[in-house]
Amino acid sequence: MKYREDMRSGGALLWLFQRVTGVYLAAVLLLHVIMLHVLIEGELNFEAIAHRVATPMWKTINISFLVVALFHGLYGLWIVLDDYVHRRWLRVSVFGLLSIIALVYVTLGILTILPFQPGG
Amino acid sequence: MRVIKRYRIHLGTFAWILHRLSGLALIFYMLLHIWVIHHLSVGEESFNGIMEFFNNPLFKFLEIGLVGVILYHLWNGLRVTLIDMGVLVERQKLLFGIAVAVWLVTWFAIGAVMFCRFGGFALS
Repeated sequence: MKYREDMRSGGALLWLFQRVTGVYLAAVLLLHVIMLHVLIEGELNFEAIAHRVATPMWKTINISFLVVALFHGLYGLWIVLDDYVHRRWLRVSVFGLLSIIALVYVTLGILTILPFQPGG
Repeated sequence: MRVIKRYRIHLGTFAWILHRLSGLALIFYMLLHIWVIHHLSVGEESFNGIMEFFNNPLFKFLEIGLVGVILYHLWNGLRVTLIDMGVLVERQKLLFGIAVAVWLVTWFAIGAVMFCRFGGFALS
């Protein structure tokens, strides 16, 4: 049980943060699903979304959505893995892998959202 | 065997297991989704090409299932958050019932719209 002393899954602050991000995601994700699957009536293609996605307001919303969702999802995955992975070297590796995935996907997402122009 | 028999799965435990399973499904979907959507930055043709790949009954059907998984995780997550905040802790069964009802109603509403769209049924 020694691993619990030096590498804990989070503590109270991260637990609270998982709740706060969850509430934010509940609102934005519900909006995301309704906008893309209920409000858009035709085929879901470039033309249907490009104009909106290019506005500064939606770039801001989408980047915050991206970062918060990746944090909530990957930290949530870590909470689950925390219950099953006990060997220290494996825990360090898994945690490192999740951190790298977070970094790569935040970068990929921001590179998609930020420079986007409807002209392509 | 006696030990297994005595190990009862309560409603809360069941909801917790489903929360983990739905969360696991969603993180893997999200990583795939971000990769698919990054085609937006490659260009219009690239994005429309990959969206066309998903534009068939199989994926449309799976999408309705995905919305169900999302909404379960969403409403159960809010239920857990309310309990953590001390709201309705005395009436957990009622809160659980509300969460399940809201989950099914929202899934049915959004799912029905999505089903009618890909089924080609007219929505007035």
